[in-house]
Order: sequence, then C-alpha cells, then structure tokens
Amino acid sequence: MKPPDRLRDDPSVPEALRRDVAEAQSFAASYDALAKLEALREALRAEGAAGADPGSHADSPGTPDAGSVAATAPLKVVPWAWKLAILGALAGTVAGSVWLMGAPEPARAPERQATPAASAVHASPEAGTEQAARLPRSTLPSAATTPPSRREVDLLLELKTLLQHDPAAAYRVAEQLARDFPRGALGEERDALMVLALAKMGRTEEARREARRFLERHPESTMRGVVEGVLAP
Amino acid sequence: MRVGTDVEEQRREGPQDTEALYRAHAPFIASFLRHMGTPVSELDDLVQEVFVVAHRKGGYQPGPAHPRSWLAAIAVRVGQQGRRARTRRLGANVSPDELAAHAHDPATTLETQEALGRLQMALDALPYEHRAAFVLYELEGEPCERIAASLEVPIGTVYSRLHHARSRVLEAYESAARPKGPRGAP
Repeated sequence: MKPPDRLRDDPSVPEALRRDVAEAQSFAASYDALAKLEALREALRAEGAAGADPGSHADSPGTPDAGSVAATAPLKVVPWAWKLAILGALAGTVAGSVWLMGAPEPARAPERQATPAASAVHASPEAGTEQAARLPRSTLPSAATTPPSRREVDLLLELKTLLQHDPAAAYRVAEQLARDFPRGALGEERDALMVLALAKMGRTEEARREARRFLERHPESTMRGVVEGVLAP
Repeated sequence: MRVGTDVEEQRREGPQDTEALYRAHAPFIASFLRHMGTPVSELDDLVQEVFVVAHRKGGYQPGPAHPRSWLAAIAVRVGQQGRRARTRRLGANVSPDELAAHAHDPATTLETQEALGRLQMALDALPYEHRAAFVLYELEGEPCERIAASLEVPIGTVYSRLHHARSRVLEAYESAARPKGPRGAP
C-alpha cells in the first residue's frame, strides 16, 4: 500500500482546498517561539522546584556569559541535561563512569580509569595541573556522581548552536569547555561536537584524527554515529 | 529506508534537552496544535505544556521515533485534554464557530486565518485520530512512517485514516462550493 498523494500536489483536488492547505502550512513560520521561551523556562523552573535534584548548582561560577545563547537558562535545565548525560552514558554501560569523568588522553583502560589525574581530551597541557587547583567542585573526581554545573550546560548549548553556522566559534567554545571543565560531566558530548566543528571548518585531517581517537575512547558512545560520519569517505 | 535514515539522523543529533527541543520544534508543535483545533488564545499554554510533559518524561532520547514524532504524540494527548477541558468549560454543544471565535491572532495574516477557518471547519468534523493523521501528513508534511510511530498504530491504519479524512475534507469543500456552481455542481 502506498501513501496517498498529498492534497497540495494532487491536481484533481479543488483549487480552494489546495490553496487553503498551502496557506495553513505557513502557520508554523508565523509562530514566534523564542518570544515565549522565557515562559517555558519559568515553567521548567517550577517543575524543578517541585522535585528536581538541585545537584551541585551552587558550584556554578554564576558569571555572566555574554556570548551564550543560553546564558539566561535557569538552573532548572541542569538536572535535565544531567539526566540526559547519565542516560547517554549508561547506554554505553561500562563506559558510563569513564564518560562522566571526562576522557583522558590516548590509550588507557577505560573502565578502570578513576584517577584524579585524568585530563580532558583537548585541554591545554597545563590544564591538568594548574586548572585542577581551581576546578569547580563539580568537576573534581567526585563529579562522576554529580550533575554538571549550569555553566558547563550553557556552554555546551552554545557550542551546539554555534556549530550550525559558525564552526570556528563553536570550536573556540569547545576549547573553553575543555579548559574550564577538563573532567566535565559533558566531556564526551563536547569532544564529539569538537570533532564536528573541526570537520565543518575544513580541518579534515585533524577532524578525522580526533574522530578516531574519540571512537577509541568511547566505543559505546551514543555520539558514535555523528563522529563516524566524519570518517565516512 | 526512510525510517532507518531517521534513526541515523537522530543518533547523530544525540540527546536533546528541553530548551533545544523547544527551539527546534516549537513552531511545528504550535502549528500542529493549531490545526488540531486549539484556539489561538490557548495555543501558547498548550505548546508550553507539551514541552513540560516532554521534560517530565525525561526528554527525547535518540531511537526509533523522530523528535518531531515523539513530540507530536505528546501534543496529540495534550491537545485532546485541552479539547476536553474546553468542552467542559464552554459546554458540550460548542460549535466550530464558537471555537473559531477564540481564533483571532493578529500575527497571522488574514488569508491564513481564512484558510485555517475553512479547513478547521472541515477538520472539526473528523474523529480526533483521523484529524491527527491528516494534519501531520497534509499540513505538516510528515511521512506516514513517522505518523505511524507517533500515533503508535500500524502504517495501514495511518493510510486508512488519511483516506477517510481526505474524503471527508474533500466532501466538505465540494459541498461548500456547490451553491456557487463550478466544481461541486452535479
């Protein structure tokens, strides 16, 4: 059985109906969703107040994030993103705890990795030492059982948004994430998006290299599909 | 083939938080709810409700259902609840005209309002499930596979609902045109 022709494309359908269908289809374009975004945030905040895990929001630096599209996102978003992160990580079963800890550089035994010395994939060389001293509590090893901070979530949302139209800026945000949250709870997603940013910037070789490293580190990642796309011929 | 491609797309997309879902799909949900008969005066509330429910459910996870389909399934239920509440509030005998009286939206062009009004009249006569299939397929451009996934029915049922809905809508338009002669005249 085949799907019917759509009314709009069926010349046997009365012109008035085809015209109305076409006109009605323009409704979505007229809906200003962003104007109502703050109301949604309020509602989600209320939802959170009703029972969401407050997590480690107090860890958030709380500094204004001038460039972030999600800078005003309420703390409410954090437990949500954290839940996603956990579910995503658990999809990789044993890789989960490693994912939450952030992925250390090259070959290592993932499931056993739990040392404070783990460093972010793209963190600058000094990040492992210098930054460890100023890490927010949520990114210390115990972060494996705590949600990401609001700022990490905000930066990740910004990274995802920028990736659509400004991969260079997205890459810079990914670097910033790696610097600020070398063992961030959203490290795996950050690294996957960083691979995409490299690819979109035309830095193909780097992108492919990082993609291979990512897949080695996260063979069970829920982001595997997107990263494998970079390696496709 | 299409479904497989969708799954792959979703995997690439990865998990999405509520705000990202909202940014990407709120206009679609608004359009869907509007075409399902939600008055403009209630539209913002119901759109928000869809995303709050999505949030409560733990959010979208990549899988067989496309994010749009997944949200549409929520919107079907939210829209149905809204309709029941509206019926209780306005009385069981509320007519499409009365509902249309709630439908003024200064942001929508006159042509779109008129088109929505005429279509709405035709769609109001459909069973809710048939209307959902029609709206998703004809107005929102969703493929039948996704509609089947979102409504959790076999694809044959989607075809059948579409066929039925389409016949009824055609009848309504032909009937409206009949007095004027040209198309509907016997």
